[in-house]
This record gives sequence, structure tokens and C-alpha cells, in this order.
Amino acid sequence: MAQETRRSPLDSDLLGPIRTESLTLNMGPQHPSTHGVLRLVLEMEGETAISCKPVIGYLHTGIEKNMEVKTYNKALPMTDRMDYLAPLSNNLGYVLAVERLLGMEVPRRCRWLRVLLTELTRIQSHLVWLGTHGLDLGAMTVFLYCFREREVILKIFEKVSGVRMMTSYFRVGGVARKPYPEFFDDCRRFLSTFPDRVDEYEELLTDNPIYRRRTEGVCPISGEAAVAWGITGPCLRASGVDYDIRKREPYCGYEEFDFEVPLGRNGDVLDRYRVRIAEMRQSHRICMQALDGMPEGPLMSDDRKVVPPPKEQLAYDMEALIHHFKIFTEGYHVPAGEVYQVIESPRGELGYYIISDGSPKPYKVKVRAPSFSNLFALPEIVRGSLVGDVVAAIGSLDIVLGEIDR
Amino acid sequence: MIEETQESAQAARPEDADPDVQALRARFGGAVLAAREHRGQIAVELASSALPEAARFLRDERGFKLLSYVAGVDRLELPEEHRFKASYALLDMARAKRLRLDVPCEDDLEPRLPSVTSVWPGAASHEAEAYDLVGIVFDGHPDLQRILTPEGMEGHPHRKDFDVSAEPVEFTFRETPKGKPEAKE
Repeated sequence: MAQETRRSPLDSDLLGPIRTESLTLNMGPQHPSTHGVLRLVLEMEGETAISCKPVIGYLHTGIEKNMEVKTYNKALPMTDRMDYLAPLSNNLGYVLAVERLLGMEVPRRCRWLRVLLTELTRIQSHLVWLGTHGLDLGAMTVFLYCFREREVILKIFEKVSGVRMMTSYFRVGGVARKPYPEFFDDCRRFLSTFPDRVDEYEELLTDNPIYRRRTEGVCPISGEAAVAWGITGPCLRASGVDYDIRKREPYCGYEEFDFEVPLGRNGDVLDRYRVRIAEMRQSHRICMQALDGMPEGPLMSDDRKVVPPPKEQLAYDMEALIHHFKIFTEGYHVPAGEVYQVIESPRGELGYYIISDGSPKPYKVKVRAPSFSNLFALPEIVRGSLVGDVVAAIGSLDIVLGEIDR
Repeated sequence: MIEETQESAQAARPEDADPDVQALRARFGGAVLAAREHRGQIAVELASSALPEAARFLRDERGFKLLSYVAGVDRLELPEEHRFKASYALLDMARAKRLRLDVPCEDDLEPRLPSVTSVWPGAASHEAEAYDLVGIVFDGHPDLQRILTPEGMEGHPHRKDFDVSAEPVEFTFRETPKGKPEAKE
């Protein structure tokens, strides 16, 4: 309307009233800010997105189906490949689900070691998020700083499990092998400098006026809407909903640790950033407690039907050899039933819904990937925002397409 | 005597003492087909006709505001009456309480269920996934299309009778344009 009044009467006679049409804009699947192979179909009114449709499936590899034809042990390495930024969290969710199906307990030392490593995973995953989110918004420096620290954690993972990213370190009934002798010293050395490093990141971003203007009040979502859309994890807590599975439904011995659950208020991009920064500090706190109080004792469950015997026993113990042979050829029979085991992964509620029919292979595995639900709330989050803010919103959700498509 | 002891044993079952199961039974009676407890988790089997109403009841009156997932399951090799079911995992954040709803599809050949997207908007993507992978059609879903597998794919890969031995590969063949020399050894 405003434009029509500005025209001379002659023009409007000739051209008629201005008609505006919405424009369909395709974003991805190769767009660098879509973090993998996400495709968005945006409907634009000028520069404002009026609707948005995520298109997924470019990374669908049928992992869930594939797990059905593998024994429980052999299905484990596939869990890393889903959320490849938090492999140990995926391992943990899976082994906890199988242990629950078996009705099995692991020793306290094992639980603590798992907590230590999954919290390092959380730090590592949040570092990748922080770096790439900064990169999306034009803050290049923070990316290099984050990857510097991440490299140290990956080095520790490599030394402890043999692999940097696809660790498969947690096993049903324990862990793959004892941590190397200097493991705890390495962790301590890294953690002693880490809080200062987080201060460094915050110096780069938190009060940076450019960063603030790109994030403050951008793409907010209310707590109620977030719950209705099934958003979990840091994104939910940024909207002020106090729900952390580690606190409310403790698993793996989290009830023994003392930490706080950081909350946001507005649910905008800035709050999601703040919650994750605070979570890194809390993870550091949990790691320090785990290092200081690491209990002594056995690391593995001694259930020989499930956990392979130590290698040296095979040389002199016939029974151990039989167990070893049975576990690696036939696998172990898991009592029939269904469980849904949840953990708090760096991205939210990661759940394994496993149906067992009593055979050594899972009948059905369904992975409840936190990124999947979080991503499909994106249309709700970005409605009415600028296309540049869509990039900020995708980054702030911290999605991993590997676990969305599975 | 034997019957009595069985009854008292049933009353002591944890799933019957669960307040949410009791509330569902009081409200929906025969539509609650069964309640099961396994490893400390409770699952309620519900008739599909009662699903939308029960979903609304659980959300508004029992506090299950968050839907974790909807999973389609093919129970072809399990000793169950109906081949397909959908499993809904619910969470009440105030009580930190979880509940699973198992809803069997009555028709084994054309499985259909009412959609719960009007209760939990986040269910839309999960239902689309269950449709794509298992082939359950959700009535009332706003946009029920394949979301993981490619367009034009036939069959539903998470069905137990889906053929995984081979995958059709599309070859395109282009003839040598006229005037160009033929490829020779």
C-alpha cells in the first residue's frame, strides 16, 4: 500500500496495483550452514520466511534395519555412526538398553568411567557446535579455538579406545578394555586448563555486539511450544523448561554427582548458546568429580554369559574358552521383552527402543534421535524471521544429520 | 483356591497399581486391552478406536505433554494377534514419569491408525517415518509422505518380509552420437 501512494497517478494507470508473490527458495542439501545434508524448502515473502519445510533422507543408511540381522555385540559399532559427534553417548544409550533387557548391573567403577567419558563427549560435541555456529554467523576465530581443545579430547579417545571418533568403547557389561595407564592424568591435564578456555570463547562471543545482534531475540520458542513439538536437551532448557534426564531420571550413576542444570529464559538463539556454554562448565565439574572420586574395583561385570573372559584366561581355562567361543559365534540370548532406555545426549533425549524376542539378535531397534524431533520444530521456530536468521536458528539447534536419517 | 491366589498375585502386579493405568482403565474400560510391566517400564496396549481420545486424556489430565517418538513395528515373527502396531512413548515432565502406548492395527493388510498430530504437533514427522518404513497409514495426518527413503521407492523397508537381498539399480544408457568414431579395442 505504501508503495502505491508513492507513485504518480500516471504510473498506476499504466501498471495497475503492485502484486507480490511469495518465492520458493531451496536451501541445501549442499549448503554449508545446513550442517550436513539437510535441505530446506523456504517460502519467502521478500526476505521473510513464511514457511519452511525440512527435507531429509539424504543420509539414510538403514542402520536400524541392519541391527536386526546382527548379534547384540555386533550391532554396537553401528551406534557410533548415527550421532558421529557424540559416539560415546550413543554407545552408552545402547549398552544401557541391552543391560536393562538383560537385567544386568555393571560395577561402580565402570559406571563412573562411563560418566567421565560421556561428559568429555558432551564437551567435545558442544565444542564442535560452538565452532560451527560461530562460523555460520561469521565469527571465524572461535572455530579454530574450539577445534584446538576438541583435538585434545579426541586424542584421549584415540588412546583409550583405539579410534578418534567411532569409539565403540562401551560394551554390554563394561568397557572394551582397561583405560591406558596415563588416562586419568591426561584427562586431568586437559580439564585443568579447560575453564580458562571457555572464558576465552566467551570473550570472543558473549559480549560481542555483532554476535549479540545476530542472536538476541532471534528465532525464539516458548517452553510450552517446545514441549509440544518434542524438543529436548539444551534447546528445551534454553526455553526455561527444567528437564535434564541426568537429574530427573538418573542412569549410570549420575545421582552420585553434583551439578546444576543451566536454564535460559527467552528460548532464543542467544539463550541456546548460553545454556551450552554453561553446560560445558557443568560437564567439567562432573568430570573433575569423577576423576577425584573414581572408585577402585573391577571394571567389568563378571557375567561370563555376556562379557567375554580376559584373554589370558583362554590359555589355561577350558570353560573360559567355551564362553569366549559362544559369545563370539552365537552371541547371548536376551530375555524377550521391550524396553525404552533414555539418556541425555549432548543434543537431548536419546532413546533406544529395543524389542527382544529371546534370540541373540534384536528383533527391532528404534532410535529416538533428539535431532530428529528438534529439526522438525524448525518451521515453528523460524516462521516470520529473516533468511539470515534461519541460518542462525539451524546452527543453534545443533542437529546431526547422521542420527536424523539413521 | 487356585483362582484366588492368582487373583491376589494379579492385584500385586506393578502395572495394575500404576495410577495412570488405573485412570486409563477407569475412563476407557475395555479399550485398554492389556498393561505390561517389563524391567521397571510400563506399557499399555490400547485399541486404536480409543487412540485420539486417550491421547488427549493423557496429555490434558495426566500431564503427558511430551511425545518422545512414534515407532511402527512389524510383529510378523512374534506370536501376536495383529501384525502391525505403533508404539508411542510419552513423558510427564512434572513427575518424571514415562509411559508407552502400544496400539495394534486391526487390519494386517492395510494397517491404519488415527493420527495424533492434533494432540502433539511433533508427532507428524514420527508418523511420517512410521509410514515410510513400516507402511502404517495415519488418518488425519497433514502431509503423509515418505521422509527417509527416496520418492518412488516401492515397499516399506522395516517390514520383516522386505527383500534385502538385492536392490534395483537404475542404469542409464546413452548411444554413441552419430558421426563419432565407435569405441574399439
